[in-house]
Formats: sequence, C-alpha cells, structure tokens
Amino acid sequence: MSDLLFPYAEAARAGLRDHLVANPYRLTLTTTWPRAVLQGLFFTLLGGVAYGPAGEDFAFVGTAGLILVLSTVAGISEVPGTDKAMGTTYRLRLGRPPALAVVAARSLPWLLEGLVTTVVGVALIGLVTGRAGTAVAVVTAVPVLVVTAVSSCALGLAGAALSAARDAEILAANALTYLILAAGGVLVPAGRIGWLDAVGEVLPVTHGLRALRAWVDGGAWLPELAAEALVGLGWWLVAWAAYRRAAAAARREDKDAFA
Amino acid sequence: MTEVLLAGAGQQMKVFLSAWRFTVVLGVVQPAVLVLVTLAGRPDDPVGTTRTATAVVLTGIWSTTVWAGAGVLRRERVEGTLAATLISVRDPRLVVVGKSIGSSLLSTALVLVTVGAVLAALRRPVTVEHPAAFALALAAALLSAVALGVALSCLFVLTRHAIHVSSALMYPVLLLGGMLIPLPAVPAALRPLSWPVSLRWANDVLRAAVAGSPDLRALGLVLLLSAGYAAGGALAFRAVDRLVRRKGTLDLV
Repeated sequence: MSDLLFPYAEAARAGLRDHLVANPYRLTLTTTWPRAVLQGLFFTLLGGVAYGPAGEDFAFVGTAGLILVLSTVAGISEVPGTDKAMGTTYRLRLGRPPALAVVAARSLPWLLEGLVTTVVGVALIGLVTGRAGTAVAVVTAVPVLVVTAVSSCALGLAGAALSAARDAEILAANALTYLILAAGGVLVPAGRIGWLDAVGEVLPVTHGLRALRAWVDGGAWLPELAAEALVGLGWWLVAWAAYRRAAAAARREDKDAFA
Repeated sequence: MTEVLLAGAGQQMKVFLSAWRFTVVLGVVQPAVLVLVTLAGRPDDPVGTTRTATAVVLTGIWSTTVWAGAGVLRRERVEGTLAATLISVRDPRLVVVGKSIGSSLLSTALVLVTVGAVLAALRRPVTVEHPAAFALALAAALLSAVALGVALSCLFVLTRHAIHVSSALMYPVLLLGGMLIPLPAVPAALRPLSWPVSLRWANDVLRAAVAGSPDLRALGLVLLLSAGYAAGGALAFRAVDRLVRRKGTLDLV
C-alpha cells in the first residue's frame, strides 16, 4: 500500500476496532436495529396520521434518510468525542495527515453502519406496512444512499467540531437529527412551512431524499443527487474549517475545544 | 419521609438543569419538532390541536422518563455515590423515588412550556372542556412516569448497556401508547400489547377531559398499572440489593 494511503487505512482499521468494541454485534441485533426499525415505523405511521395515505407513502421513503442519519449525524459525533475524552486530539494535530481526514477515515464504520441499518430498516418496515416493492426500490438506490450517507457524515462531523468548545456534542448531534426530520423532507412535504423548506435546502439528506423519491418513481434522480453532493461538499468544507480553527485557537490562544 | 423525598427531588432537578444540553434535547427540541411536523399537516382546529399537543406532552414525559428518570441509579454509580445511597440511614428507595419525582416534574414542566410556546408561535389555540379532569389526568400520567422511572432505574443499573436499552425502549411505547399514532393505525397483531402501557390510558383520560367527559375507567387503569410498575420497581430494587449485599457482584462505581 502506498505511503500516502497507509495512515488512512490504519485510521479506518482503528476506527472499525473502536466501533466494534463499543457496538458489539449483540447490541446491534438487539437494540440498534430494532430501534431503527421501530423509529422508522413510528414516523412512517405518523406521516399517515398527519398527511393521509399519501403522507404515509412519503414518510416511508423519508425514513430511509432518518435511519441513515441516526448513524451518520448522531452516532458519528462519538468519533471526535473519543479523542476529546481520551485527551489524544493533540496527537491528531501533530501528525502529518490532516486531522479531519484521519477522523473521517475513523468514521467509516459509522457510514457503513448507517447504510446497512437503512437497508435492514427499510426492508422490515416495508414488509410490515405492505410496501415491499417500494422497499426494494429504495434499498437498490445504491448511488443515492451512498452519496447521502457521505454528505450527512460531513454534517455530523461539522456539528461535533463546532459544538466541542461548549461540550455540546450530544445536543448538536440530536438537534441536527431533529432538524433534518423537520426540514429535510423526511415527513413534511415541501410547501407546508416555508422557512423550514429554506433551511432544508442547505441540509444534507433533503436533496438526497428527493433523488431517492425520483429513483423510486422512475424519474430523473441525477440533478438532485448532484445537489446533494454539492451540499455535502459544503459541509465538508465547514468541518475542515472548524477543525483548522480549533487547532489554530489551541496553538495561539491556548483554548482547545477538544481538550 | 417527606424530607427525603423533597431533598431527592430537589437534587435531581439540579442535576437535570446542570446537564442542560441533554435537557434541551428532550424537553425542547424533540417536543418542538414533533408539534411542528404533526400540526403542519392538520387544519387549524382547536380540538385536534389540543389532542396533538397532549400527545406530544405524553411523548415528552415518556422520553424523559426513559432517558433521565431511568438513569437515576446509573448516575449515582457514575458519580460514585451508589454505595453510600444503598447503605445510608435513610431508606434508599425513598431517595430513588424522590429523584424520579424531581426528574418527572421538571421535564413535564419544560415540555409543557415548549409545546405552549410553539403553539403560541403558530397561533394555534387549544381548548379543554374539563380543566380539572385534565389536570388530574396529567397528575396520574406523572405518577405513572415516576413509578416507571423507579422500575427502569433499578433495571438499568443491572446492565452495562443501559443507554442502548433506553434507546430501544423508547419507540415501542410511542407506537403502542396511542398518543401520536392512534391505535387503529398500528398493525392489528400489535394492538393488544398496548394494554399494559399506562400512557395509552393516560392519553384516553386526557382526550376525554378535552372533550368534557371524564373517563374514570381509563383513569383507574392508569393508577392500577402505575401500582404494577411500582411493584415491579420494588422487586427490581430487591434484586439490586441482593446483588450488592449478598453476592457482591454488582459494580457500585
């Protein structure tokens, strides 16, 4: 393996080991997956209660995005949080690879977990609610799911970095997840609450879900997927800037948000 | 006894407030979003709005019970005070009950304020035909939350994965509680499982109070189930006590 890739491969391997220690398969089977399925089922049914049968169909596809962000926005905040708790952030900063790149590599298990949990959740909810056909269409939308997962990881890491100084990573992760629920087109169709729609345009998952619905309906999904990728790129830049700012503040002002 | 309960309640409220980030998620963010996404699709109808609001309040009560109230003993262990609590002069059960009361009271108040603020911002009026019955129903729901909090708190100290269990427990009750999701919308095979969920009956009592016709049967069921939860909590506490004193197999720190 080239010298360039080796540090990231090692970071990914370390991240996977950390992830498996904190989230053994027994927990995944008995709590993570059931929670995702039940939460998805809850919001699918809520979509029907609030917006009628069409609302339930809408929310069913939307829960793919919701289940995804449980890992890629909420869960992923554990990764930089672990360095903060262990007091090892300075090691990331002293290393050659950029800190965000190492953290991103270590976050790969969360991205994979998000994708797998989404597939499992959508499949089971589809079976329970009589939407097996739609479920198959959703889980086979691999490019859409992967791009949405990557863009939402950026939001998760950016949120963790920006809230670290106030020890508010849990608040940020959960607040962002609920914001996506409210503004990301998960449950609420566009055009109901104007200001929420505007917020949703700059959040990951919003365009990803539009692409997903277009994929399911056999329509043009690529433009919305491109928009999702662009939004994700924006959030990666925010995460990068937040990490650089935290490192600069630690060096010059002795204010380490990750200490 | 009152002194211990009040001290425990007061201390737990301070803990709740000091962990403000967590408190904000459960008491502000979640109820605000649920009210928004649910009412966005509904016409401006005071009765429907009130039913949605009460459902969100009950949802908030359950969320804070399963995350905060159920974590009372776990927090004691993290802070290194579990052993002192268990061997203190005062009955440790009173300490746990007092803390559960404090947690449930403060979280319910916060959720009520949040829901009220969102409704005011959305200019959605509410209507309650029988306010006294409504207040009684809310008190019964609180009592149930306290009993549940105590029972879960004892159970959660017996496992190392309490956070994951809390996470997994939340949505079954939200699905079966008949609060935001009416029971007819739940798959038929699952509906009988709603019977032992006290919040389902608390929701019925609150809806009846909104309509002006108190539902004493449902109120009785809330109280009966709360007594059942309290009995379960007593058994779970005896298990904790046995593991600590006789077997010495429970981690106290």
